[in-house]
Amino acid sequence: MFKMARVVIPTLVILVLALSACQPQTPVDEPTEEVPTQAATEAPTQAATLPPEADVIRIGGFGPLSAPGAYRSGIEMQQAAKMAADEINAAGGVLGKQVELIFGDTEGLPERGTAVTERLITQNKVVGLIGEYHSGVALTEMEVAHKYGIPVVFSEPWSDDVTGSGYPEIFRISPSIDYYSSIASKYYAEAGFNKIVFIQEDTDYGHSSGDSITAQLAGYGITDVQNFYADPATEDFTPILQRIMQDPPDLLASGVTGMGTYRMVRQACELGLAPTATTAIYAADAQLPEYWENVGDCGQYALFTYVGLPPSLYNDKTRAFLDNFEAQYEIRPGAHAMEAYDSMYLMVEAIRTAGSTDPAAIIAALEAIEYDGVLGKIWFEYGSQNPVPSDVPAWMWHQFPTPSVYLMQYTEVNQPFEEAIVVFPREVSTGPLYTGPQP
Amino acid sequence: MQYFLSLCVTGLVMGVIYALMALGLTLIFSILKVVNFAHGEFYMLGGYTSYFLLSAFTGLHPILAVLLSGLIVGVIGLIFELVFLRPIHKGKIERPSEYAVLVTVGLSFFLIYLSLALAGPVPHRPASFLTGTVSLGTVNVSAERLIAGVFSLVLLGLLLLVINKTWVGKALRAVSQDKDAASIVGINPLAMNSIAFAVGAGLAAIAGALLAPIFSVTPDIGAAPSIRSYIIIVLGGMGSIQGSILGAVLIGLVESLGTGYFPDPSRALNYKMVFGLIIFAFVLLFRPRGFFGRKET
Repeated sequence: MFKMARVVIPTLVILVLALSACQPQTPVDEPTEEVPTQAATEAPTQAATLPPEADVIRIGGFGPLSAPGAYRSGIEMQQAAKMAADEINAAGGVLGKQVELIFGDTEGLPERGTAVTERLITQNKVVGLIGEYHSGVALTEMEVAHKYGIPVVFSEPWSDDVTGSGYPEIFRISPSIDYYSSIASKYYAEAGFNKIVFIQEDTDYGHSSGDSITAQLAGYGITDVQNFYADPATEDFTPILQRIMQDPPDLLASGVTGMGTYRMVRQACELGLAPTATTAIYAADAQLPEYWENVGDCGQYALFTYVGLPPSLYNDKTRAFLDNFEAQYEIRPGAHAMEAYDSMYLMVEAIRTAGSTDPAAIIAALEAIEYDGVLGKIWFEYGSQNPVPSDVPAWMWHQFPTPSVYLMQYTEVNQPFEEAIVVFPREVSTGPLYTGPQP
Repeated sequence: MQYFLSLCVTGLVMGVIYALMALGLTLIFSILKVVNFAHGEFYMLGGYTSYFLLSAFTGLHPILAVLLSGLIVGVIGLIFELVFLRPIHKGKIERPSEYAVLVTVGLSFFLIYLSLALAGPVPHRPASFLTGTVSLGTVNVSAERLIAGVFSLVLLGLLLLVINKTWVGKALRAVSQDKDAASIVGINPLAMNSIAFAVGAGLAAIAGALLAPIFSVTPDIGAAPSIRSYIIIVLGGMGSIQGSILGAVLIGLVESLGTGYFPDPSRALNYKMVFGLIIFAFVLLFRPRGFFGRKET
């Protein structure tokens, strides 16, 4: 029997590797720390020995590709960045060289973020970095990038401190928490939600988000605001929802990303807490295609945020990206994928403009860049040539100043995302400010 | 009072489902003397199996899918036991304790990445048993949870019946108490090992399939239930079936009431598992063997 085990173990290992290789749509075959996406067989150690004048320009990517990180989103970010790299190479590369994306798995852990960034810079010799989903991880990655002077375009972390650090190497195209809160709080005030309960992630992002939205709502005279914190992997929200039911709010909002939100939406609905005629519900990540499968009929009337152009404002690049991504990976990607895709193009455009891979030249090019991407026109208003004035928040340093943020709502069961109502800002809204169940 | 009762019902229902999973782990430990580090992944496999069965056979009743999931994962567990764990009990492994840890941890990683490869990173949810709420006096409970709880309760009752009243159950208990003595009276301990592992894996899968419509399923979903099961079996007394059931219900209740009454509501949900650990620490302080643990002979 033991002999049999010695045969079966390698067979099983080969089987799982083979299965992984047969699933190009789901790059779960890449749980390793660094994943070269162009030369799949190239080991990081080999890359380290290549001279800087090699025929490829290496760009590092990072994000969560495995638990406990938000790997569902991280994998899509990796796929989108790879798509951008492939397109760039098909069009002739940059500075006469091919672009190679080397993507590191941070597992959503700050310490892994540090290690992955260190390896990408010192061993893989990347000339720029893009990506990241988790704020807490980005805050450690930026320290390493700053130490080595390597430019970073962060795709998705929202913490104000990312660009608030004022590091010359750090750029961001996603909204900051403060920016997002200013839009969301204005909407909540206009919609008449005076008593709000937030269930936030117990992460750097969640706590910053709770503090920011509470402060901004106070500016509109809304002071009956409670923030409850939960691990993003929480399964059962029922006991805390039963507690909230003792004094129901006007709005129950889940800032927990991914499955945590879906669970909360279903459990609040099953308890009869929300959505009701008196309590609205907000669900982060409701824009993702798996939303309806996971919440069922309970998903009707959910409010959610969409970062990126809403379907009514898609440009040609947005449509082409979405179609190509769906054709290649058989799923409609989330906004985080669009951000990763644009980040990759931004970095390459900066290298092209700079005419070299010198970090200082790339940083100068990024400061001056104006790029039309799938998220619309991207630029960085404040930088070394135009310092952040004292009356402007410090996080505006190297920050894309106007990322598209829309509040949307599903008004029907199984409503496609493309048909969801844009409720805010009102200038581009496609329906009423809020639609709720009848009493 | 109604609030208190609501929390109690929530805790009891979850506790009964926790018991199902913990019972599987107990059964494996008490018979094979192996801590199964892949138990959470059998739970995850149960959820996925139910999801794929219901997707493939649209007319299939969700409860039947739950039972089939238990059966399919039980067979997977049986094959794993025959191939990888039997050599331990045949004396073919030089360092059996270390081997058991490595091989079950290896299985855990294998199943997580296999699921990721086959099902992808996106969460899936099988069809519900029943939607809506059920009123138990003044307390409203989700119909889905209530069915999952009642189903678990019935299954636990049947298991206790089998373990206490049938020859197989008595043989399993005999092997758990003294393998050599059991052999002398004609019981095949190797066969009992296989039965225990298959049933244990099947129970974890049934728990996973029961909870999948409530919590959805992803490749990494087994971690929390598996940690909770280890706490429960130590609390109840390693290898004790009654202890596992009592420990599970207690953990379910403490988690629910603790979250409901913790003075700082903003942190209550985050400390949910901590409430169980506090009880765990107190019980071990005053009764290191757990509720029904036996003294080592």
